[in-house]
Amino acid sequence: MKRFTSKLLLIPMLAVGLAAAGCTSSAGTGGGGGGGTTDQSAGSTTPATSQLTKVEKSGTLRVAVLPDFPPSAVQKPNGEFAGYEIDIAKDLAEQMGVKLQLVPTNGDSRLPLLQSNRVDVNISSWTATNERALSVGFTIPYVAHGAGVIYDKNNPISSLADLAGKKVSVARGSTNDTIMTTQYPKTDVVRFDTIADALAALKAGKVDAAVESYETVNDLAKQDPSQLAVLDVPPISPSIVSMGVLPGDQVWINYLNNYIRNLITSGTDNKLYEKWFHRPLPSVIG
Amino acid sequence: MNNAGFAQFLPPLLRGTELTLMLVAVSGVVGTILGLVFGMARICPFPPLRWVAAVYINFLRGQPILIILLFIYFALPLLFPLATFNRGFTAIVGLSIYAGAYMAEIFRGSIEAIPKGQEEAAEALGMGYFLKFRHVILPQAMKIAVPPAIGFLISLVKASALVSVIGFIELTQAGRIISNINQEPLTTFLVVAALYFIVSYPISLLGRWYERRLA
Amino acid sequence: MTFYFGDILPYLPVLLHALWISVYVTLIGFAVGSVAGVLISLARSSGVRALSAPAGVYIEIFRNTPLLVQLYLIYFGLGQVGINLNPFWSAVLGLTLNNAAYTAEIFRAGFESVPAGQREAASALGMTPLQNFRYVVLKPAVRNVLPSLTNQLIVLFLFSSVGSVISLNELTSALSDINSQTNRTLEIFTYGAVLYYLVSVAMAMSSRLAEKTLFRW
Repeated sequence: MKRFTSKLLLIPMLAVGLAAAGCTSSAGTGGGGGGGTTDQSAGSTTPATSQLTKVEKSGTLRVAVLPDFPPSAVQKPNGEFAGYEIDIAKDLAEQMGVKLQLVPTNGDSRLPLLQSNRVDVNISSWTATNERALSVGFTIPYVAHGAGVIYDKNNPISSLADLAGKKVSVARGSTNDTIMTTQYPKTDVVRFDTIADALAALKAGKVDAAVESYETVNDLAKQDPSQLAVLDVPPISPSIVSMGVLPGDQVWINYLNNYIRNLITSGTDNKLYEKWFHRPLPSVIG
Repeated sequence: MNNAGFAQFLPPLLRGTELTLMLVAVSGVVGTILGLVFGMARICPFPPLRWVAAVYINFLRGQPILIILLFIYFALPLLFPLATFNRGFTAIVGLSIYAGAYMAEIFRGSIEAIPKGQEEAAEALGMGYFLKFRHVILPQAMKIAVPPAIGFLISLVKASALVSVIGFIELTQAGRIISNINQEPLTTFLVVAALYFIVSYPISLLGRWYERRLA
Repeated sequence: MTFYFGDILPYLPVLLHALWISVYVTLIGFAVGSVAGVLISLARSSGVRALSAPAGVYIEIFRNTPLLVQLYLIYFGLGQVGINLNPFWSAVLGLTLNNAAYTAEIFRAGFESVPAGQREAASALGMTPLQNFRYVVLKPAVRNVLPSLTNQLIVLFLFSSVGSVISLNELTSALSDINSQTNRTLEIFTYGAVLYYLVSVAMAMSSRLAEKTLFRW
């Protein structure tokens, strides 16, 4: 093993040159004109280039789901998934008459998975904020949720104002990350790649509190009532959850919107929600 | 701590170990081939080939495997839609090109360690470039390359743990999922660490045995 | 698809700050770990079984398990039994323990490269054992293994990226944060790759410089 050669300084030069060139204009590459799905500049899609057609042709629906968000979706050690959103994904594939392939994602991989053409749709508890809707094609909502605060009883808090100066864990790129960063700037936000690690940090005593969906934090506190408690406030920033696809694919969005309308009016959505959450679907949806 | 209940998590962990072994085996073989090609190109008489090999080797040896994996999984398909690999294949591609860069340096070092006289003798016998490499240089260089290559193979076992960040369920990812379910990170990751040790230690022993045999 | 590398420029200060954290944890881990590595290598080759056996076990454990798993154990596992280290110190501890195991093997090779006659000559000249070790064994040994130590430093720096999984705000973690804010995946990871590369090259070059200045005699 010889030393790390620094002879080739031309590489950094080249790389910096590339970056610098991009500053003035843009280092544009065609990327092969055929890739209609990854080409966001395409203003609209025709049925031929829509992801809907591609799914029907390939016979497989690829859905991004969360692996660590019970009871919405959770991955088991054998690799299989279960939960409310998993049931919806299964139902969607069945209605389309195609096979289902589930791909785990985390907060900040949802859009990259679509852009890199690894999945056709996200059913990953994706909150349809106006900001995100600038770069994501959202359907109509199928469920709603809000954020809750869970804390360590050894270090109790009694109001949202108490979060100032405290260490609060969130999953990177989640709505909870945005809420804490923008609405509670005095909080010391600690970001993890996954929801599981954000909650594990609270249980290991690494942070003072964690912010996750209202249902998740309540379930978690029930599992460990001696150590954990949920802050007694109404859900923070109640928000709607939609399926997300690449922007501009109106054909595919239309199909999914229609599917969700049927899911809700047929009562299936409520039935699935009650099966996993043991309470009726939030009224904002039903 | 409820260790009695841990037995139920062993099958998925063993399955994860299997996949880790598979990843290391495949990317170890592909990486060795890449390493041989680029290592020889690095010192061949044709300058453009040398430059290409140097760019590959030096640039990749300056990258964390984490960045290589994230780049191939998320960024590469934006450049080349055809290069859209699933998680398992991304893992193999990432680990292979990572291994290729380090193996190339190992091969280059080994080839350069062969005394110049050997090469000259081969040339004096009228051997051409390929004949010389095939019969004189490579057989000797391979012997020198084995100990550092085995050392790198151990690094590759450990680097394969980072494949968990793109969600491929190898040993570490199986451990992450399980610790999320049983809420016992200490026990779970101690078992995961023990399984890595079981995979990796025999490779260390093999390396030491070989070095002793050479000495 | 068009790529805009200029869009990421406003985030450059954030990236550079994160890069500094990567470098900082690496340097602490390398410095402390290398001192520990010298001690462990001395214990390993001391010939005293009570010292060499534990040193051997230590080296094997840390060389044969992944840093990611070690960090999970240090950060989440130790937290479970009440030992609470923040992400920064968890990462420093993980890198230090790892580096100690690797440099122990490097230093052992280095010490073996110093001829015994040199030490004997020094003690014949009346040097104290400590002087003898410092000037006659350690310095030439370090010089002989400087290329290996440099490789180890660079590998350690590259592996500091693993700190991102335990929420350490180093470069990889900052890249992911900015990616989730801007969705400019390709541009961001290109910046990241260039930054990692530049620092690796800088480390290799400063090692060359050290070889030419600090170790001239």
